[in-house]
Amino acid sequence: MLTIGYHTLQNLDNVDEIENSGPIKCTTKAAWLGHGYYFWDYNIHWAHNFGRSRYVDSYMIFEAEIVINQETYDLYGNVRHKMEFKELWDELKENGHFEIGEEITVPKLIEYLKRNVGFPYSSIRAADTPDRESRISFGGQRSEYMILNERVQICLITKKNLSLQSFRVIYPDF
Amino acid sequence: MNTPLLQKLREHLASISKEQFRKEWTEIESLGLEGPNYEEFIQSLTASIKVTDIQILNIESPFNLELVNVQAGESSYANAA
Repeated sequence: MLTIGYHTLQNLDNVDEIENSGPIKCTTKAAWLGHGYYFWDYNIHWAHNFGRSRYVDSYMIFEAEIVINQETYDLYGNVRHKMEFKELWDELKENGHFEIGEEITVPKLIEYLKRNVGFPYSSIRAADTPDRESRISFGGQRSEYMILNERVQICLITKKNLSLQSFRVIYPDF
Repeated sequence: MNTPLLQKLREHLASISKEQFRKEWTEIESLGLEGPNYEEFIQSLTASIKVTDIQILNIESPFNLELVNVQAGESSYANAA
């Protein structure tokens, strides 16, 4: 499957440099899926939201084609991956030698697998539940609902699934 | 469930000493990464987040759909760039 990803950066008047060199790797504490190149999946709204909140009006958005395939650990759309990830978590919690107060989080588990076990994927896709989300209720007496517009991100561990030829700035309009 | 990745993790954990694990985990902790913990992760899988406002859509629908705005609390992480 091919999707469009959006990558937001601070506008440092270096658009040509970024277009030539490609996305910037995130290694800050915000890297919630571990270190990698982060893109919002298809919905440019999240890319603008981040740019406005982080950089006020001084930001750039780049788009690129990204392949979602068997090399993608898909914690958004693959039920098997979700089930496996929970079991990996349980396994580490049960058989790791943790000290009181230590906590396993999503990025810690992913980085542990990458650095010590061997993580056989080149990208990870996952979603979170942002401040205000939209649900479609089934209505009537039923409690079920369907969530729309999840904030989905793709973290590229390597650029293998990224089409560098398609990587280009789309905001602002230079 | 038994997958190659799960098996590799089991084998790795079984093959190392407590000291070796502590060394590995200290390296992970030193990265200072922030992300969902277990409860938040499970919450995101089940989407059991708090409903704060319900708005009936003004549309004709055979399913009598409602648009529901919900507050996700602190489980908000997909903001890396």
